[in-house]
Amino acid sequence: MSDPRERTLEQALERLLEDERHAEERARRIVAAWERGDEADDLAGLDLEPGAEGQPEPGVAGEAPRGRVLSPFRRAAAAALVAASFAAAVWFVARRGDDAPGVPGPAGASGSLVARAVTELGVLRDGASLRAAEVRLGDAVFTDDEPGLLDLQGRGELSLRSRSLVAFGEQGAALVLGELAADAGVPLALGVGFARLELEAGGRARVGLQPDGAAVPADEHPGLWFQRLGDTAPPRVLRVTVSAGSARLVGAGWHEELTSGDVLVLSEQSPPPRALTAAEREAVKARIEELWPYSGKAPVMEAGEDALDALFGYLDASPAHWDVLSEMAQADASDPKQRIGVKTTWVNFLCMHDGEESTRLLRELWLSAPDSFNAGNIVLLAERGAFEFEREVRDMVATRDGTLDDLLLPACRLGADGDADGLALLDEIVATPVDEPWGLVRTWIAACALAHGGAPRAWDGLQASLEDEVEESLDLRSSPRAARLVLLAEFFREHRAEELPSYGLIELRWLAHFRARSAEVQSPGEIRAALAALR
Amino acid sequence: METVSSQKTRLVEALVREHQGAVRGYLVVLGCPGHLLDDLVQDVFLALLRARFEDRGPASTAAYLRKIARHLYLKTMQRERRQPTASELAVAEESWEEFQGSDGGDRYLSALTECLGRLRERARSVIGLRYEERLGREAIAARLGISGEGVKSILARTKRSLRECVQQRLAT
Repeated sequence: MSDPRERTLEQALERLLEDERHAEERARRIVAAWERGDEADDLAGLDLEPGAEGQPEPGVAGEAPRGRVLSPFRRAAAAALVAASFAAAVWFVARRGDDAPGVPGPAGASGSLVARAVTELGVLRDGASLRAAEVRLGDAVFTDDEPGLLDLQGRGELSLRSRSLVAFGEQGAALVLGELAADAGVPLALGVGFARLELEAGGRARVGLQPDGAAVPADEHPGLWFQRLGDTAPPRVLRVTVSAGSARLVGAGWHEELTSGDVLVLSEQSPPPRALTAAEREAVKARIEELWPYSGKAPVMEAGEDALDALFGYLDASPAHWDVLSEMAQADASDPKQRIGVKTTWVNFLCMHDGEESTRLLRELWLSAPDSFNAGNIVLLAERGAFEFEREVRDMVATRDGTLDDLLLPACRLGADGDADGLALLDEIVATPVDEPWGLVRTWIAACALAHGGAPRAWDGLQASLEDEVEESLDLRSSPRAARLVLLAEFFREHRAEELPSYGLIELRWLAHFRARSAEVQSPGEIRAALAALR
Repeated sequence: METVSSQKTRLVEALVREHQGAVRGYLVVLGCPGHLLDDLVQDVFLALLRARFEDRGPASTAAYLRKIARHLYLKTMQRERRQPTASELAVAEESWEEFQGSDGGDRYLSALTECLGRLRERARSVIGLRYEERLGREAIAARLGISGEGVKSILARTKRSLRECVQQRLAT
């Protein structure tokens, strides 16, 4: 449930209908905590002194860098980043700043406060690398594996994705490499590599800058690596998505007006951008519809891989093709009269493409049509690193919101990683009486995830009883059940052997295996031969 | 005679009672997961009280609480590596503003009350069991003699129609 309008209704229903005793009980607990002298969790960094006049303004205090508990991996990564960033800082201040409009030049000594981070981030300042919440004129801010949020002192916010670098100069903030979402409180100009993005007040945009065709060394921070290369740095690809208000993208000798919903992709080496004409957009749309391999009624898997490959190939040929598809999907998703089956087909279709464009579009659809996502879709996107889906998976397991079938894959996602809540739920699932044939599949999925999560008892039980169960089914002349058991063992032993198993697509993969093998494993002789091959 | 300490407690109780619904609602709209909600609401009030807060009227207090709630929510989400994007936050803030309007949400709640009155009996029962009695989907299914999936679809449908009904009433 990630649509804020649905959450608004949720909280309104709770306020309107909830028994007053619950609210009273909660109020009593808060007052008791205050009387005990309890303190709010993790208040470090908050300045809660009311302002001298007007509305109090809590914000992040400019405290000295604090110690943090880091995992061994994080410690190693942080140490490497600090070592690399010192060298990069030298490059940073020497790097020419006149190669693009909006990119600030070297600023020398640290200056006035220009932004505050919600938590401390990496900061390059006066040739040194440190961690700080306060950002000053002349600083460059970088995120490591965690994202960061910067408050631009009343002018707006920048939400930095992981491994991004933003420089703050006289002309304002400038993204050097990485990705950020900008939210303009006032008219805001943002350097975006070889161009400048001007957002109107209230405007919002997402900006990505990545090296064009060059791989970043695995052990380096992308932004620092880019700065260190100086004039030999590869050209960058800029992607701008305006999500609210209007904006203007200005380059050397060109500019482009953008409004909400516009997406522009251009390379540092390419000629100035030009949006598709209406006729060109219609032509792309017609081609997509021509390649569209199924109707809203047909399951995505029925389309066949060749048809999907043809469509994905066309889409991947140009970002503009994805933009047109995105418009088509958004139009269906935001249409309240559109059938849920059509919306679901969009989600299932996009889930079959493991790429940046499809993931970006799915994240947008999650905001407008969350009901179109099933548990498999949600788990798949969590596995691909989309935090809001990971959050949904954790919420589903924590609140047990749904039937055991709804909760199976979220529990697998967490349980296979050793999470206690996920493992407990999986234990419940394997202990639930089986309503065949789907219940049998559910049990094998859950047992497999338990084994991945370090609790192999249910899995061992299924292996130990396999031969007896198959023979018993054959004795009862239930060859379909016997065949299904053998095919389940075939499929899940392979899945069990995988180091990083995916549970998001496991149902589809199982169905594909079943369809491919069920014609070959039918007679008692074929079933026994397949069983023997498993020994 | 009432002691200073008990006077203070009474004031704190009044403050919490007056504002906890709004703080809770605001955190829900921002996207706070259910299992963190009670703790965060408590932290918001404790932070306010620790900051030697001066009462300058309900509107000022509500705005101050909202700022603390937003800050603590972001900090918690960042710690859990589930930080929302600036765009998601902005959309959530817009939704909250729409709900609040100029009357603290009274118009929305009044519209919702009317819309609830128009629901059919089965839908009203499901909503009541979910939000008044706070039952889970399976418990509602058992109570009404329908499947868990049935409850899920009734809830989804009903909430969708409630949203549309409220929007229509707010627009007129």
